[in-house]
Parts: sequence; C-alpha cells; structure tokens
Amino acid sequence: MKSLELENVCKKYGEAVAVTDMSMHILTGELVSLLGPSGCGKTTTLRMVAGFVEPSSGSIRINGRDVTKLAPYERNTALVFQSYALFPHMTVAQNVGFGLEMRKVGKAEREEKSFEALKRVRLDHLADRYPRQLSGGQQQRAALARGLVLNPDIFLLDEPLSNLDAKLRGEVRSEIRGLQQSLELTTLMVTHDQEEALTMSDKLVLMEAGGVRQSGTAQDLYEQPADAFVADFVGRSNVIPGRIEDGQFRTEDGTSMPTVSGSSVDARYYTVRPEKITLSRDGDGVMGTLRERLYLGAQTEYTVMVGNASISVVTATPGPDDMRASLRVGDAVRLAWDAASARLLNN
Amino acid sequence: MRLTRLTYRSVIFLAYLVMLLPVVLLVVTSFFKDAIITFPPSGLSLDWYENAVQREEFLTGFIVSFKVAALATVIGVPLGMAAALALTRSSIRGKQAITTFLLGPIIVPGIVAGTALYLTFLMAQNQLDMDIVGTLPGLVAAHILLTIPWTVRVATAGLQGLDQSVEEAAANLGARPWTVFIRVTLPMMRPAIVAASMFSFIQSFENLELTLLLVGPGMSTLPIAMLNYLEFQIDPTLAAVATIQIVVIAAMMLITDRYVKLSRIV
Repeated sequence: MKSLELENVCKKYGEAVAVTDMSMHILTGELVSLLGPSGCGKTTTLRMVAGFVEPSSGSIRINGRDVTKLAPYERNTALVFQSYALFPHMTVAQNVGFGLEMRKVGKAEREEKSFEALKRVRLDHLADRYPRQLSGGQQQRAALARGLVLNPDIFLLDEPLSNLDAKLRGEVRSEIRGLQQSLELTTLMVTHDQEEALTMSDKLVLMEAGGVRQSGTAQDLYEQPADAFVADFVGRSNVIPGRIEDGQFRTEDGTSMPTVSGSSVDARYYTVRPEKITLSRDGDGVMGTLRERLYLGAQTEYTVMVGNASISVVTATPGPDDMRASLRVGDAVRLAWDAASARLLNN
Repeated sequence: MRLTRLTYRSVIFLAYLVMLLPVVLLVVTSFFKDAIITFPPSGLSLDWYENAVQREEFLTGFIVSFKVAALATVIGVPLGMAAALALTRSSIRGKQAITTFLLGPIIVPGIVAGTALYLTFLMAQNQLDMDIVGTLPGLVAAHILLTIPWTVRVATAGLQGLDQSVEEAAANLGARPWTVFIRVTLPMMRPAIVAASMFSFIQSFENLELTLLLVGPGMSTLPIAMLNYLEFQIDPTLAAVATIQIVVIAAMMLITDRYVKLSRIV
C-alpha cells in the first residue's frame, strides 16, 4: 500500500506565507490535483513532497514513514518537471537508466527495465537519441519513463501539459491518465488549468493564497462550490452580489432572482452556471438586454445585462429557424433557469 | 527592395573587409622578398620564416608564452568557474561587488596593473628573499589575474542559461549532491568551460602590457620578444611570426569547434 499524507504543513519565507496549514491524504492508485491560480502555493507544496523545500512546520509522510526532514535523494518520489528537465548530455536510454544506476542496479537489468519503461511510453525506437533530437511530446514521454522505471512511491507531475500545443494536450492527457490507472500510480499533480484537473483527477484540492479553499471530487467542486472563489474558478459561473429580502435574492440594483424557499438569510452571492440558463426573445424569466454575442461554432455565448449585473449564457448555437438566431445586440431578452440549479453563497 | 538588400550586403562586405584587410596584408607581406616593404615586391620568398624560426628569442618566447598561458589557464579557469558558479547560484550578499572585484584586473589598464604587480613582486622578493620577477611562477601568477576575470566574464553568461531543474531531477532520481555535480552539472557546464579556457589562453598568450615589467633574461614572452625586435628592425620577420601565431590560434579554434560549437557559446 502506498500513501502520501500531509499534516498541517506550513511554509513561510520570512513574513511571507507560501503554504498554510495544508493537510491532505492520497491513497494507492489515486490521482489528486492541486489546482489554483499562480502563486497559490501549489508548486511549493509539490516541492515539499519531493524534498526540495523544507516545511516550516507540520509533517509529510510517505507510506506512513515521516520524510519531512529527508533529502530529495532519500525519498522514493518521481517528479516529472514542467520543463521535463532531461539530461541534455545523455541519450534517452541513459536518462531513463539514471535512477536505476543511482540505486546500484546492474547494467543488464538496468537496460532491460529502461527498455520496458520506454516501450510503455512508445519511445523504445528512440532510445539512442539525445533529448534535443526529440519533439516536445516525446521529451515528455521520456521524462515520464524516467520516473516510471523506478516504481516510485509517489509520482509527482508539475503542470504536465503546459508546454504542449492544444491538439497534443488532449492526447497526452488521456495517455498520462491511462498509465497512471493501469500502473496504479499514487500521484500528486499540480496544475492551474481547471479543465486538466477536472478531467484527470480522482480528487481535487483547490488552493488560494497558500490555503485550501475546497477539496473533493470534480463533481463536488463543480456542483457544490463552497464559496464564490471556487464557483468562479472551477468551471465558469455567474457570480452576482446581492442579499436576501423577504425570502428572495435581490441583486444590488434590486432585481429579484429565482430563489428556492428557505435559503440562508446570510447569502451574499448568487451563482448560476452559464449552461443552466435558457435565453429567449419573449418568454418567462428575468428581463435583460443583449450586450454581446460570441459565435463559438457548436455553441454560442451571450452576455446579457440584467440591471447592473452582467450574466453569461452558453447555449447550443440556434438553427436558422430559431427565433434567437436573429437576435441583435441591444435587443431585449428573457433569461430563465430553475431556481434549484442556482447556489447561494455566504462568502 | 533589391536596392536595400544590395546596400545591406555591401555594408556587411565592407565591415569584413575593414576587419580582415590588415590580417590579409600581414600574411601577404610575410612572403615578400624585400627587407623594406615595397609594392609590388621584387619577388617572393620564405626567408623571413626561416629567420623567424632560427632566431632564438622567438622560439623561447613562444615556448614561454605557451607555458605561461597553459598554466595560467589550468589554474585560473577552475577558480573562475567556481566563482562564476557561486555568483550565479548562491544567495550570498554583495554579489555585484564581488563580480566587480573579480573583473577588476581586466578593468584596470594593463600597464597600471603591471606596474602595481611589479612593485608588489619587488617587495615580496625582499621579504621572502627569492626571485619572483623574471621567473615562470611570477609570470603565471600575474597571468592568473587575466584568466580568472575572463573566466568569470565568459562563464557567468553561460551558467545563467543552465536549467537548474535538471540538477533537481538528478537529486529526485536518487543522486547525492556530489554525484549531481559530477554527472550532471559539470557536463552541462562543458561549453562554458571550453569557452572560458580558450579565451583565457588567448588573453594570456597575447598579453603585452601587464607582462612588460615582469619578464627577465631568458624568461620573455612572445609578444615582448616581438616588441624588442621591432625596436631595431622592421623587416617582414614579424609578419612571419604573426602569421605562425594566427595559424596556431586558428588551429586551436578549429579543434575546439569539433568538440563544442563555438558559435553556440560566443
């Protein structure tokens, strides 16, 4: 059984707090993502697990053993760097064999294992090339193989897709997830890309300003965001400030929003996802003015002003017979949604 | 369009012409027959090469210069590399001041530094009761003051581009700090080391000003031997000596280029 536990981990640089009171638990075969904007402390956390940064307080345990004070080379973690960090003066095979060499594995066994690992990432035919002779995607697969071959306790991925072009990204995403699941790698991944985190992870930890804002499955974070920050960061959301009056949520200019009865009287934000809203020329719902229409191919995104609040709506692009197809900027429209699909948040 | 391209090419051509013309003329005159350079020459000959090789001061000068440059490079480059590594990597205070201090010897005019060294050596000689001026160790010590700053200058630029995550990757894969240095850092520093060594060697080999006061009987460098010759004669022997030098240095660069592409480091 493999596991990674962080308990009340803090990291301070002088007065500046990088990570504060971070606790989490990863079990065998799980992929957990640290998600958050840049500077939120996710990379510092990853580097503490790898041993490059020593926590100011708290403890880190790998497979139950306290590694908080151990040097990087005394831990069995495999970190795949954002820049891949392959050794430029070694061939792909030598790169992959390096970790085994450090573990004093004999030459024959080393070569066999390296070849196996390279085969797993479909790079066995390029074993004798140098990193600079490989494409970005191939370099990344070499970096993955270099980690895989060691059968690490914890697999660490630092922004694995950020250096790849959009088309390759989807492919590599499923490849990494496939490898991780078939080898049951216990993995901690750092990313600022919410789509990457949502699609690849078993669990997400959303961080901001050094602390955890919310953790849970992708569904948890998407359907039940704990606060306005989470609602806005995970997926897209309309976050409208206002307050509850007579059981109804009213925006700052007094427009009333569909509200489920019995909502918390302390609510300060009203959130609703763009895809939950139906837009029509003249139906039921909240009145607004069309300010912008963006054609995205399969989908169309509308921005509608309701009083002072700007609300985004995403729908399938209407066909030519649809009343909405002839909408112009400045037209009056109606927005309708199920009160139950909205969430009221206190902060 | 065509005109601008033509102008562009002519400017490049002119720049190369200005840079290479003296060198070409030097090489050409070394084959002229006449003792006083005239154009056109009355004939061509290799006499001046014969004279250059036979005159003892040039041969000794070449050997002394080579020894001094080689020793100053072998001692100065590792020291300079260590300093450059510390200056690019560690978070010690006053980096800027240390850098300026290390570059000092090549910022100060050579003749000033040479005089200062001469006086220092004289005082040390009196205190220690041993010869320093006019000895090989004295010259090497002085030239290390050239090779350290040149190494710091060339290597700092090279090391700044060195991706530190590659070394972290080695540590992550289980390598201890010393192993990381030997197996990863040092090989990645190779282009910087080669560039620094080459610059240091050439700077030491051709140095005149700093060395002027520090040479002694039988312990003179090639540039000083050439200067001395020039005081009494102006025949093409010097052109022949200079041509040999150009060939030697060009050969060194070509050999270096086989191992590390010079276009990538300069």
